Amino acid sequence: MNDYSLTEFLMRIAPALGRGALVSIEVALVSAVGALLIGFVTGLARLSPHWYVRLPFVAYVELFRSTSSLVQIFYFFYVLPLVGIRLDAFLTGALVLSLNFGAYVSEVVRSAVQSVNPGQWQAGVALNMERAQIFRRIILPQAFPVMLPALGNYALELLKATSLVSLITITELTFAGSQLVQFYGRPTTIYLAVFTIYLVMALPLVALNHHIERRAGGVWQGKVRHK
Amino acid sequence: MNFDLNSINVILPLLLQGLKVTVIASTGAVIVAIALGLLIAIVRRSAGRALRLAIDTVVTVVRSTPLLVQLYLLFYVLPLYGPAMSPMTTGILGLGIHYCAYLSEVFRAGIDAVPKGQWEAAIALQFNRLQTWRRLIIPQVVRIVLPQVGNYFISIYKHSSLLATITVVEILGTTLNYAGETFRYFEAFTLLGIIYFIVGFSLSRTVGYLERRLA
Amino acid sequence: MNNQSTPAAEFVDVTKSYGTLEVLQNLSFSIAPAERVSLIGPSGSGKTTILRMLMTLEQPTSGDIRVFGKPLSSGTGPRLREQDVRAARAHIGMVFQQFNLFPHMSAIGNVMEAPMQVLGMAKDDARAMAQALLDRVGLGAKADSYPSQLSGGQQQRVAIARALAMKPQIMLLDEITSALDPELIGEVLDVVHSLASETRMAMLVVTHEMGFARDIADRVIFMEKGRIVEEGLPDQVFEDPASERTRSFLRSVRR
Repeated sequence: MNDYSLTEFLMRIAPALGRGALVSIEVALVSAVGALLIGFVTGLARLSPHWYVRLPFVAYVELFRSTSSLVQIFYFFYVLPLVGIRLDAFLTGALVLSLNFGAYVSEVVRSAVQSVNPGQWQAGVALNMERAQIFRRIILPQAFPVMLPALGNYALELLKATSLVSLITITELTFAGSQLVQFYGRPTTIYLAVFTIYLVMALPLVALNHHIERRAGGVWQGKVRHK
Repeated sequence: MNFDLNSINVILPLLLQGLKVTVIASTGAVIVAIALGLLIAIVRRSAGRALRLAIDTVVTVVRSTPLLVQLYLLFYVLPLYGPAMSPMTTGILGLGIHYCAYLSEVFRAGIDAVPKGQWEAAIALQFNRLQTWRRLIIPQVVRIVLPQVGNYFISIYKHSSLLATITVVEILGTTLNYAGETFRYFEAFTLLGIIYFIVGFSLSRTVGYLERRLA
Repeated sequence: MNNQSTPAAEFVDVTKSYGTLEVLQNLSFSIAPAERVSLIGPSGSGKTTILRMLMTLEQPTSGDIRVFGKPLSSGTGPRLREQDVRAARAHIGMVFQQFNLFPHMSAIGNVMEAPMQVLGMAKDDARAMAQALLDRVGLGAKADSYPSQLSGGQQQRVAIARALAMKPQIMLLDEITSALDPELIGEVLDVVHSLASETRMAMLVVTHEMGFARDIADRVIFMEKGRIVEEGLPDQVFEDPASERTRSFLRSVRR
């Protein structure tokens, strides 16, 4: 179909793949923000002493954790319009990824908060602090570092999962690659290029996660020593 | 939008047929993943620096790139250079390779968790290398890693729906085909969601039970 | 005890049970302002539960607890409003067995936190006060250290300074030396003794250090199985206990 040399060909497909990669990053960032918001609210709600507060959030988490993200994407894409909810493909993809990863993030948040020694809460009460103050000033700052390694891993999983939205017509990196294959052929070059670009996008996250894992545990001790 | 209850009679048998394919693919993939993951973990343990670095690099690359793209490479690219495989074989291999990267880490941690005294006892009892692994280490590692392997099996089950993109007619593929012909998206996808949930939820309850039993 | 003034803290017919296990049975007693009371007795006798209920960390199953005449918690009456509970609780400070310092804050940060957050004190004022309190417990030079860099005895002294920063009128000391290595116990007890002689706080002390229980107290209460067996002046309880049970307990801890 074409006789370009490898370099020429790569130059030709680079702009389309670059645009696709940017869309992938965009989907990942929007979904990450959404997942963090949903995950924090859900994780905290699940710590409520009242069962009727916990119930809807437990149902949501179980529903999204027990089914496939791709099935969820297709479900939202095909079924929501039938019941009168019309979102564009980008929003549908970002919404489903937010809900899907939000369910996992909520587990991370919940278990991190529970991992804080109960004596910390008691000390806050003994100093007559309000519940919200104890939570914000005492519990969360200690729970947050506990969350980081798991959140880092989910960030990487989320970046990979953005490839799924290619199947609902969002022209991110994978879909851009598939379109180029349809147009030019040469699947080897194109899919290897796509693969490599994903790897390059993932590497900063891989390095960050490596760094977080090595630091895990020594958070408070480090503060003064490095002064 | 009204739900056509009669169509359930048609859809349900189709989806259960698809579910069978999903289960076969997931089971095949987890076997591949366990075999490769264990192999990687064991080889890595006795490998020199260079080989270890090479293994770690490959594992990181496999873990850091999307399964979907890996499946495309296996399905669209590999046959150009080697023998063609059926979509099902390609899918099982792709899922298995993707998850062997995760499982090799699980096995590595599991092997590290076996007390050093066990290795020393094996030497004291004149066990050879193979005997030590087979009779002493692996049985203990299995106990340690079983819940995590179970959790990855659930991930594989969920990710197996991606095989629909390389023409494997598992449960999602069945649904897409049926809905595409009949336009009964609402019924087909709702039923798909329910079945997916029931199986996934039962699996995660089972693994949770296993986790508590072995803890 | 004369009852001319309002008691600092008062338990009225308080029962605490977990399921069928009764930890405290129909307990009634009070502490006068500036009074020092030691609670002694075998583990599981309910001493720590009393302190935890005064700090609202546990709720009574039945009965009432009052602080300076105001209700703190009620096992039978209507649920108290959060702000009323906090108003009553403002008079009380507590030092824990496990210190419970905030690991993400420096020593001085630990002491400044509640005055700034709860009392709305300005940062500079809070810092000056916290520094003075750390000086007082002998840790002025460790103000910028984090809890993980301090010994157990030092951490517990910071915890005492932190509790003092809220200017409580009742101080609860819950086995404050039990988690310490033996050689570090002295420095903590010295701080408490100097507080006792320099301030007019009421103190309610749970301890297994019998010498400390005797020296610090105006009154000693011996408890067993959720009931007060005997109470009296320290010399009387320790030298000439009225109950055979007190006698055998004291023999067992002195051995």
